[in-house]
Amino acid sequence: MARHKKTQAPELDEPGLDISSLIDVCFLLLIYFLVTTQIVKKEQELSTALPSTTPSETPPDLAPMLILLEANGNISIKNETGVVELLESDSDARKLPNLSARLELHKSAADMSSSKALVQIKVDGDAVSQRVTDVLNALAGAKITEITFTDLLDPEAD
Amino acid sequence: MASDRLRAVNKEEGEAAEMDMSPMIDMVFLLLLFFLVVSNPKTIKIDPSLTPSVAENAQAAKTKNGKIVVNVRDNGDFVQEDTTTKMADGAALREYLKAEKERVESKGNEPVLHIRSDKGVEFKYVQRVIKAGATVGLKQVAYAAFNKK
Repeated sequence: MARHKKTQAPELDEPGLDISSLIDVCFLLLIYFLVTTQIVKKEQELSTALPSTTPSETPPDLAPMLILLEANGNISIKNETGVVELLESDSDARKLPNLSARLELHKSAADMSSSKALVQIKVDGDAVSQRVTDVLNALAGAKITEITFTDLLDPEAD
Repeated sequence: MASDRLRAVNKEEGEAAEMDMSPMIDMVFLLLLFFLVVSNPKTIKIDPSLTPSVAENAQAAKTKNGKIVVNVRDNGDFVQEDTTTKMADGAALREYLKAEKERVESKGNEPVLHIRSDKGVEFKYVQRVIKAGATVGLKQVAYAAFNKK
């Protein structure tokens, strides 16, 4: 009798799947990806409108601000009287407080006259891209997007 | 008799408790499907041979459609988005931008010139790209930048 019961018991069990090996593989894959994954810095952007290459026939209400960027990284502005005023001379500094303050003034003046704040940038071709980005960064901080690079009007430049 | 009963009880207690894995697997598949549906695939191929500038006011792109990517490497090379095709001169650059502009517009998107320049490249090379873009009639330009060092 006892022998008969022993032979029947395994047949009543439901078939089970052993998932321990699956979990082992999952953990191995997880560790592999944790070790080999390189976190990539997410790229952002500074957006500006690109004006036409032909000069506008109608002059704007508010005169555009002219920013001069030299090859050594010096940043100046040319005021209404034609005087060039040096604002930033530390080419390693990413923040441009003096230029930002002037841009804020220019923007608020444009807002008060209900016109667009226009900025012209004259960049020495030998200036590095990071320095131009610093200027564009200051412009983005002041929420100015109407930007012209004056060299675009130069027919000699390719 | 008693020992047989005790043996039977002990046998029942000795069986390992099994966990039902099916709800967990269901949930994993649901999560997988969710992330597959909502994930926004990267559309701009990154040229690893250049490092863009840093700008803390740089913002995430509003749209990834319509980007016309030009990479400007530190030696002044102009490279297309595929990171391999170089453009020798301004004429090749204009030709590429014009073709890409027409392709983007045919899909009903607004073309945006996306300049990825190395932070150390001289700006005269970037100026050439901007001018080529303006020449073919592009109205928007975006400069790639990291907003953290």
